[in-house]
Amino acid sequence: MDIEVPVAEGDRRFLLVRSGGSCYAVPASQVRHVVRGLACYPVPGGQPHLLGLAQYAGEPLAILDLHSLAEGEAPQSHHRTTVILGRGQRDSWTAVGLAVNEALRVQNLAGEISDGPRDGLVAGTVDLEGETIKVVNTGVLFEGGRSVEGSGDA
Amino acid sequence: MLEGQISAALRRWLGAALLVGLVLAGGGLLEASADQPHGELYIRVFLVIGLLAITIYVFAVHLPQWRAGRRLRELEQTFVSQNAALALALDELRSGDLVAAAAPVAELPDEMRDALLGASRALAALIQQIQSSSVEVAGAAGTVKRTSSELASASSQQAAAVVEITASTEELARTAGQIAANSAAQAELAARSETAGDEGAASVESAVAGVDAVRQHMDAIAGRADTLGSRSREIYRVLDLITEIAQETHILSLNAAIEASAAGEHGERFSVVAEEVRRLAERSRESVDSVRAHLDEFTNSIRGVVLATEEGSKAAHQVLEQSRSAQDAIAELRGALTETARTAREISLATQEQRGASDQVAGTLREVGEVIHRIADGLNRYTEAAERLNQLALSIQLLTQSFRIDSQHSLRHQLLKWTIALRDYSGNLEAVEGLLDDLLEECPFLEMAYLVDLSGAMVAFCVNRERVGDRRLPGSVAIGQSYADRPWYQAVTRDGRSAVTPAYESLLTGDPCFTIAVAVQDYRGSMIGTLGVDVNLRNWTKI
Repeated sequence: MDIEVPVAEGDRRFLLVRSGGSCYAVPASQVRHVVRGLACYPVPGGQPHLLGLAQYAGEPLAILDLHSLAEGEAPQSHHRTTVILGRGQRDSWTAVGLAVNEALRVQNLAGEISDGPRDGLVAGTVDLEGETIKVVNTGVLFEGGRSVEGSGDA
Repeated sequence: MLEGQISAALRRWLGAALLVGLVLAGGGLLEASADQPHGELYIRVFLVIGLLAITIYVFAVHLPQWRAGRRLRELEQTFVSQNAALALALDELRSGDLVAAAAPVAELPDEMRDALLGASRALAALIQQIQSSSVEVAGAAGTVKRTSSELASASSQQAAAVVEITASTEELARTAGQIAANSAAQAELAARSETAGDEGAASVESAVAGVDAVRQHMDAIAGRADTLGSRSREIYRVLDLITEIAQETHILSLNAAIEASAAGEHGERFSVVAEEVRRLAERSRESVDSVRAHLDEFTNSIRGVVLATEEGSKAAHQVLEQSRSAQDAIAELRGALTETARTAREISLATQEQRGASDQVAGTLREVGEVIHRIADGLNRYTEAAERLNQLALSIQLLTQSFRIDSQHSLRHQLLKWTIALRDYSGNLEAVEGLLDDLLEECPFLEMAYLVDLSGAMVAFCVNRERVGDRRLPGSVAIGQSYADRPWYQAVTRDGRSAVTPAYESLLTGDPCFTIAVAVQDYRGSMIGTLGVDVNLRNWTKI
C-alpha cells in the first residue's frame, strides 16, 4: 500500500528532528515510520554519509546520516533514532532511512519557508520559536532536484 | 817612799833597840846599886848574861829575822811580778782574749798557772760550747720559725678553706632544704597528677567506649548508605525502564502523528491524541530526567555519606587506636607518677636528713675553723717566739764572738792571725787588698773586709761579690772615707783590742750582719791600723 501524505494548502506538517546539533524538518508525508534502535550494519567502501544497511519489514534499508548528508561533515556515531522515508506502493516502495539524533515532534510549519537551492537536500529554512529549522527536500533522496512543494504531489 | 822605808826600818829594829835600851837601863840601875856587897859581881854577871842575851838575840832572832826579811822582799818581788802577770792574764780574760790570757801565766806558780789555764780552757770550752749551742739554737730557731711560719700560713689557708667549705656546706644545707621543699612539692604535685591520671584514665576509657560506639554507628550508617546505594541502583534501573517506555511512547506518538497526518482530516483528532501522548511521554521523560537528577543528587549524597562514613569510621578507628594508646600512655604515666611521687618523698626525706647532717657539718666546721684560727694564732706566737729565740741565739753568738778562743769558729782569733800577715804589708796597699781578697775567699760568709788607718780613713777594702752581687756600693764604701766616728773603730783605738758590734741591717745586702774589728800592730806592738769585717749572719749561721 502506497501511503501518501496529503498536504493541504498552507498546512504543511513536518517531522522535526535534531541531528548534529541542527534541527531539520522532514515532510511528514514522506515519513513512513520512526523507529528506535534499528540495527545498522556498515557497508564497506560506501559513501561517508552511508552509515550502513538495516533490515526493515523484511527488506534491506539504506541508512543515511542526515546531518552528514546535509552539511557534508563526518557522520556522528550516536544515532538513536531512524526516520524511514518511503515512496511508492507497499509492494514496490522505495525506502531510505535517515539517521538522526532525536525525533522531536510532528508540527505544522505555517510560516514562509525561505528558498534554498532547489536541487539541494535543504530546500530552505524557517524560523520557529527563535530557532532556524532546515527543511529537508526528500525528493533529492529519491529522484534528485524535486522541490518541497512538489513532494506533496508525489 | 823614803818615809815608808824609814818607818819599815824603824819597825824592823824597834824590838832590838828597845831590848838594848832595856839592858843599858838595867846596867845603869845595877851601877847605881854598887854599894851593895857583891853587887859588882852581880852586875858583871848581869852584863854577861845581858851580852849573851843580846848575842843570842842577834843570832837567834835578829839574823833569822833579817834573812826572813830578805826572803820576804824576794817573795814580794816575785809576788809583784806574778801579781802583774796575773793581772795581765785577768785583764786579757776581762777583755775576752783567752788566747792572750794564757801567755802571762808562765810566771805564775804551778798550781795557780794550772788553775788559771784550767779555768781558761774550761771557759774557752764553755764559750765554744755556747757558740756551737747558740748556732744550733739559732738554726733550730730558724727551722722552728720557718716551720711555724709555714704551719701558720698553712693554717691560715686551711682556715680560709674551712671558711669556704663551711660556706659551701651551709649553701649545701640551704640547697638541700630547697630540694626537700621542691621534692615535697613535687611529691604533692605527683600525687595530684596521679589523681588526675586516674580521672584522665577514666575519661579516656569513657572516650574509648564513646568512640567505639561512634565507630559502630558509623559502620551502621555505612551499611545503611550501602543499602541506599543498592536501592538507588534499582531506582536507576526503574528510571531507565521508564525512560525507555517514555521514549517508546514518544516514538509511538510520533508514528501516530505521522499516521494521523497521513489520514488527513480524519486523522486530526487522532493527531491531537498522538500529540497529547507525545507530550505525556515528554513529560514522563522530563519527570524521569528530574527524578534522575534528584536521584543523581541523592546518589551523590549517598556516595558522600558513604565516603564520609568510611572516613569517619577510619577516623573513629584511628581515634579509637589513639585513645587506647593514650589510655596505655596514661596508665604508664600514672605508674611513672606514682614512682615519681614515691621517689620525691624519699628525696625529700633524704634531703631533709642531708640538711640536718649539713647543718651539723657546718657547725663542726665552724668549730674546726675556730680551732684552726687559734692554732694559727698560736703558731704566729710560736713564730714570734722562735724569732726572739733566734735573735737571742744571735746575741749569744755575738757575745761569744767577743771572746777570743783558739778555735776556727772564733772570728776574733782568725782575724788576729790575719793581722799578723797584714803588718808585713802595711805599706803595700795592693798586697793588702790581695790579702783581704784571700780573707774573703777563706771566709765566704763575710760581705766585706777593710783596713782603716790610725786616723780612721779607709785605706783598702774588698767586697765579696758572691754575697753582695752586682749591687752598687754605697758612698760610705770608698777609699779615704772616714770611719773615725764608728763605735767599733773608737773601741779598738781606745783599748787596742777587738770590738764586736750588735747586729744591724747591711747596706750592701739588706741582710742582718755585724762588724768585728781587731787592731793591727807592728812588730813593736804599736797599733798601726784596724782590720774590720762585716759578717753576713744568714750565711754565717749556716756555716
